[in-house]
Formats: sequence, structure tokens, C-alpha cells
Amino acid sequence: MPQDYTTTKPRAHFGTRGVEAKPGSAAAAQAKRHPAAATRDDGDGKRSMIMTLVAVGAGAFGVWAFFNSGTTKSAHGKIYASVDQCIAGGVLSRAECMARWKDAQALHEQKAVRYSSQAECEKVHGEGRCGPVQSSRTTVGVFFIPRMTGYVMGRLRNGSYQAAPLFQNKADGNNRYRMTAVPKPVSDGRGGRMSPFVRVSSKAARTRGAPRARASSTRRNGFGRSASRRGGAFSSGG
Amino acid sequence: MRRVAISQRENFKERVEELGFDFHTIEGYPYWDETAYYEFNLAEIEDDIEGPTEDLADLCLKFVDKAVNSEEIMARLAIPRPSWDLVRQSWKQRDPTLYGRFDFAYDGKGPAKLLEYNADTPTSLYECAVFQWVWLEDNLAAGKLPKGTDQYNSVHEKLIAQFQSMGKHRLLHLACFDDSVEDEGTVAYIADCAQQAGHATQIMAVHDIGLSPQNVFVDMQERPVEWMFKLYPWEWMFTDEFGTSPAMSRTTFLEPPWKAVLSNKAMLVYLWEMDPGNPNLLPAYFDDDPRKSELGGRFARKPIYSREGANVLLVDGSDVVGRSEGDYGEEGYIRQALVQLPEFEGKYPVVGSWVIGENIACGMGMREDIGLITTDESRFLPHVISG
Repeated sequence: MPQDYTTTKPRAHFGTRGVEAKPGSAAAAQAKRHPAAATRDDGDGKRSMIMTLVAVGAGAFGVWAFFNSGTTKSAHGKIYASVDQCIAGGVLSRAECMARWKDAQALHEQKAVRYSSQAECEKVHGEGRCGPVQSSRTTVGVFFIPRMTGYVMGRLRNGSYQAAPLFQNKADGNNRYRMTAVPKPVSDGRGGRMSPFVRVSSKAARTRGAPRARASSTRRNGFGRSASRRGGAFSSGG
Repeated sequence: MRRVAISQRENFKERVEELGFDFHTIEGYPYWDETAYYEFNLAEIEDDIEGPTEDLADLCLKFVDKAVNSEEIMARLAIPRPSWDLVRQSWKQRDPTLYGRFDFAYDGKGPAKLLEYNADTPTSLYECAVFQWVWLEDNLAAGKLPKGTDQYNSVHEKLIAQFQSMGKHRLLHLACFDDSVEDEGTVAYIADCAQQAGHATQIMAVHDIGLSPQNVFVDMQERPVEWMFKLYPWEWMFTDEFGTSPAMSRTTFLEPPWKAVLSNKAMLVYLWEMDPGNPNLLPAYFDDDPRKSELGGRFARKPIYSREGANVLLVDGSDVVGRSEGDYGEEGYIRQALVQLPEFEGKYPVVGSWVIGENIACGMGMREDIGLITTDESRFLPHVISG
């Protein structure tokens, strides 16, 4: 990976683009028009929104509620555009902020859409928003992916955090993000798995009074069942 | 043809890391084995492998045309009726195909015999296209192989060319199970080839494929999935919940639905019927066909659908010479004449001959097992063409 791509400090042009959405600004008006959109006020007055909601888990999809935990000591649902912002948020330690960025970056590189040229990538994501990744699978191979422009925290039951990588498309403004992928659930030490990135029932969301995400009626898990019915030998290949 | 011992490259561990070949060892079993290689002469490759591969590929295409126009054959192939139109339409449109792998029994002394055709989800692609090539170059550079030593292998270039022939700057989605290192490795390599052909790629998990209310498949960012490579077999797709959705005919698949006609062992019966006496084919009949008695007491009984050599029974007269377990067989069985796999130093090699596109033979990978049935515990060995 080229040195200047993996960075914990936002590059200069990101910093200037991260303009806070002042009350009365377009971004705030946008948030008002779509109260059901997932928003997060991270305390600086900046409202960030995750455009595409990645839902995990069996059953129906698309509703993702960010809980307002009621205390300032939770970073659940918080979007940070950089490690520095995460640290400034005052919830995760410097080490945790850096470790979560590293994890999210690795997941991002694995799961992000890949383009064969910088130009193709920038057509979709905007100028300056793309970077090269060295393909390790052939002796000649570089592809381009949209840069990770932030990460969103999810708080696990045991108080620690997972982070999902975020990126942006050209049409997305400064504070609108898309999620690259959801990190895999982790072991809870008791033989179970936990993940903060799970679907929450709309009932629970209403009772907790948290802003609700815009629901998507896309169904998932419609492929893959026949495989598990087989039990036994696993790989799809022959 | 012979098996030659050689020492492992000194830079083996580095190469594996550098090239991201994570599945050189699978669940503790060594899979890639470079303590030996197979050596062939040019005539063996051109006359016995490459030529017959292209001829058989053409015969297979003839069979597809016959099958899609015959309800009897479609039923025998155990393709569910609700999917017949999808398969037919795909063939009428001549949807492009990326690849397939013929498995042959071959000993260098007589014609190669077709054991089966992996037409839908063939594996061992990366180790064949890339890793064994790098092995060749490294050993040539180190002087461990004589100058002029070659390999039957232009798979990588042909894959890229095939992707180039499928359009410009398209977005290819690639789906596989996200908890198989081997599957993810194969998919990442194919994505790499598509990128080198100028396309954008998005890898995703099979169960994450979404179906929108407008009956279009979408990915995790709700982008439409118009063009999808799947490392997931057609016989499973057909019976999955989304497999009969109207979205299916709106999506271009690699491999295309018409390949389902070829990706089951029943087609071996039909190939023999279409071209009996073909030196590269083994006599084969359905298990419920009385003509199976023509095989005498020497046969291999295989499920119409199975993977990695599961549920195979090998009978030689009164002896059961091989048997493998598994969960397959409910769609029925075929019987194929038993062929003795050649033995080289206690190992039984199978030739995996690659076809790119409809009928371009361009490479080969050797797998061997210590038993007569090639399973998922087989090893992959490199090969050379002696100069």
C-alpha cells in the first residue's frame, strides 16, 4: 500500500471540506426535511448522515436505529472523519481510535468497489476521493478504490467498539457517507457472537426515542440457503 | 509424461505472502505441493490434451443446443422446470461464458479420458493461472529447470482477454461465501482479471445479494447488480428463494444459466450417446438404464450432482476399489466405465484442462491424491513442457 494512502491524519483537502453544517445551512435543512434519516450530531454541530444502511442479520431489513444512550460517554453511532476527530470525541482512547481506524481500513480495502483506473473511480466518487491499492494476487496489478473518509462506531454489549468504514460518492456532500461493509460479529467470550451492527426492531427504536433510519424494503438472504441444507462438505467449487 | 522430484523454492514462503496465496495449506493439509512436478513433451500436450479439449468443448456446445430443445433431457438433467426458460433464454442469447475445467485421466501412453466437466464453478484457477507460472519462472531463474522449459499455461492472459470481450468499463459484482478462504481467493483473483480488463468490481457475500421491490438484484449499497460472477452453483441457485425471481432474467451471470446443462454428470451419458467410440470419452449410462450392463463389472457410480468427489463408488468386478462419503445423490446416479488412473510414485494424478470462453483450450493444472478419487484433500502440483 502506498505510504500516503494509509494515513491517520486527514489530508489537507479533506480538512477544508469538512465544514461544519451551521444551523440554517443546507445540510441542516436536509436533515429537517428527512427526519427519518439516520443522523448523528457529534457535538460540534456537524450533522453527518449515513446514506446507505447496511443491515445484518436474519429476517427483514433496513431499519437501523442509533441509540441515544442518554449519556455523553457513548460513541455508539458516532461518525468520525479521522482518528483525530475520534480522539477529540473523548470517548475512545487514542489507542482505540487508531486500532479501530486500522481495522476499518483493512475491511474497507477488502470490500470496497474496485476500479481499474483513477479516472473511472473519480467519475463515481469525485475528484481526490480515490486511491490506489496494490493487488497482491498477480505480479502486475494496481486497482483503485474510493478512499475511506470516515468510520462509524458501534458499541458492543461489553462496552468495547467495532467500527465500520465509510466512503462517499461524488454527489454526496461533506457530511453524507456510505458504508463500505459491516464488520463481522465478534465472540462474546461465552460461545456467542455479538455485533453492534444489527437490525433493531422498530418497536425498540420507538421506545428508546432514537431517530429512526429510513427503511429499505430490500430483502436479503435469498441465496445461500440451499448450501446450508446440504450440511457436509463446504466449498462451492468442483 | 513423468513425475520428477525437485526441491521447494527457497523463496517459497515469501512468494506465498507476496502473491496472497493464502490457501496453499487448507485446514492443516498442504494443498500446493512443489516437491515434485509433472513433465510432458509438446506432442502430449498438443495432441492429447489441448486438441481433444477443444473438440470436447465443441461437442458440449452441440449438446447444450440439443438439451434446451428437449424436455426429456432437461428433466433428466434434474434442472427444475421453473428454471427451464431461464436456461433456454440464456442459450438463445448465447450469453458469454468465462471458463470451465475438463478433468482427464491421462498417462501419456494413450488418449486422455474425460472423467467429468466442471462447467459452472471450477476451482484451482489461481494456482493454475498464476502460482504455477511464478514457480516456473523462479525455478528457471535459479537454474533448477533447464533453459527452454515451458508450461501449458496462458490462462491469465486469456481470462483478461475474455473479460475485455465482454464490454468496456462495466461494473462486475462477484459473489461467494464469505467464510471460505479458498473461494474468496478465487473470487479475488477473478476480480483482478476483470479489473485488468478495465472493469470495476465489487465483491460481496452470496447471502448479501438483495432483491429490491422492483425485482432487481442489489448490493449492500443498493446499487443494481446487472452483471454478476458467482462462485455458487446453479443447482443451488435454482432452488434458493431468489432463484425463480423475475430479477434472474434481468441479470447477466458468469457462468450463464446455460452452463447448468453441462455442469452435471448426466451430460457424460449424453456425450457418449452423441459420439460413441470417441477415444476421449468413457462409456456412460444412467444408473436405471439396463444398458449399463455393457460396462460389465467395472464402473464408477457417481451422483448427477456432487462436489469434490463425494458419494462416488468405484467397482472392479467383485472389488470395491474406492468409495467416498457425502450428502449427494438424491437427483440420481450415472455409471461410467472404470478407468484406471495412472500411478506415479504411489500418487494418482488427474489432468485439469482449462477452457476459456466457449472453446479456447489454454492451460492445465495437475492434481493428485493418494487414493483413486480426487477429493478436496488432493494436492496441486506444477507441470512443465520439456524443451
